[in-house]
Amino acid sequence: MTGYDFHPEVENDFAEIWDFIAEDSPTAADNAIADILDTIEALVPFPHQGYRRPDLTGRPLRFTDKHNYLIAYAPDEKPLWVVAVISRQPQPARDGRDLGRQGVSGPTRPLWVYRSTDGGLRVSQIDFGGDGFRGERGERVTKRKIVCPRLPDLGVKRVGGHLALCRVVDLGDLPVDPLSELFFFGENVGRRPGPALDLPH
Amino acid sequence: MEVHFTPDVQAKLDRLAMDTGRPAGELLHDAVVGYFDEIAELRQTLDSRYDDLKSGRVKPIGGDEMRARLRARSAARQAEQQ
Repeated sequence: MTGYDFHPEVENDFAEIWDFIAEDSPTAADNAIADILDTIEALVPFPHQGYRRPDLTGRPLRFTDKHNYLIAYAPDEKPLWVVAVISRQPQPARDGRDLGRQGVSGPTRPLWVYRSTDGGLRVSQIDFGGDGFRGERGERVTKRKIVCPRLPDLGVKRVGGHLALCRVVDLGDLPVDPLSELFFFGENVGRRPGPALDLPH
Repeated sequence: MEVHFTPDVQAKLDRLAMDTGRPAGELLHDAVVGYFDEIAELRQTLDSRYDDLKSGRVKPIGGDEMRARLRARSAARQAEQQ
């Protein structure tokens, strides 16, 4: 018994953290995860040592930080519940630009634009073969996507340089047909070029 | 409404406005809207996850099991990269 349990989605939180850091160093990624787990473990004897953030939750949760990550947990539960481990600051891209929050990687990773079945445009960071996208051809898009609600305003060519204006949302299992609707753009990804994106006006 | 920034933030804003050709006020508007959206989104995520556990809709993962899963995932990812 460790004295703490996790919401199942926290496994995805950890996966995002690990993947982001492991682009530079898998060892550093392992160490960061271990540090976060140690921080959680240290909460167990004194669970109310964390601080409240009533702007972030209406539930009896407390928060603590480790590195750039915010750990949200329920101190009154036994074992203590960890409900989220999330980035609390924009993740710096490899070229130094701020790209938003929550594990958004830099423009050197594949970026795709697709039109979802609701007709909206979505920008997505695709992790081929990873947890975010099933297989190279991908039967469906799942989980975290980068969404640019103001994409037409930003303009496609500028998206790579303006990801800070995008936000990451959990779309759940949004049904899309990636084979027919995905369009590629971005730099230095070396995957496969697609047709030019015809933006609505 | 008048908003004051520290010199370094003001410099970043001016630089972004220059780089993008967009008015600073428009950039600020986007930033504030984005901030509120993010707060709302995060609040929804945290509250719903807590509710999941509290209601029993979702079964928590034990600390030991999570550590084991993360170790296995790390090993698998690193094996893939070799």
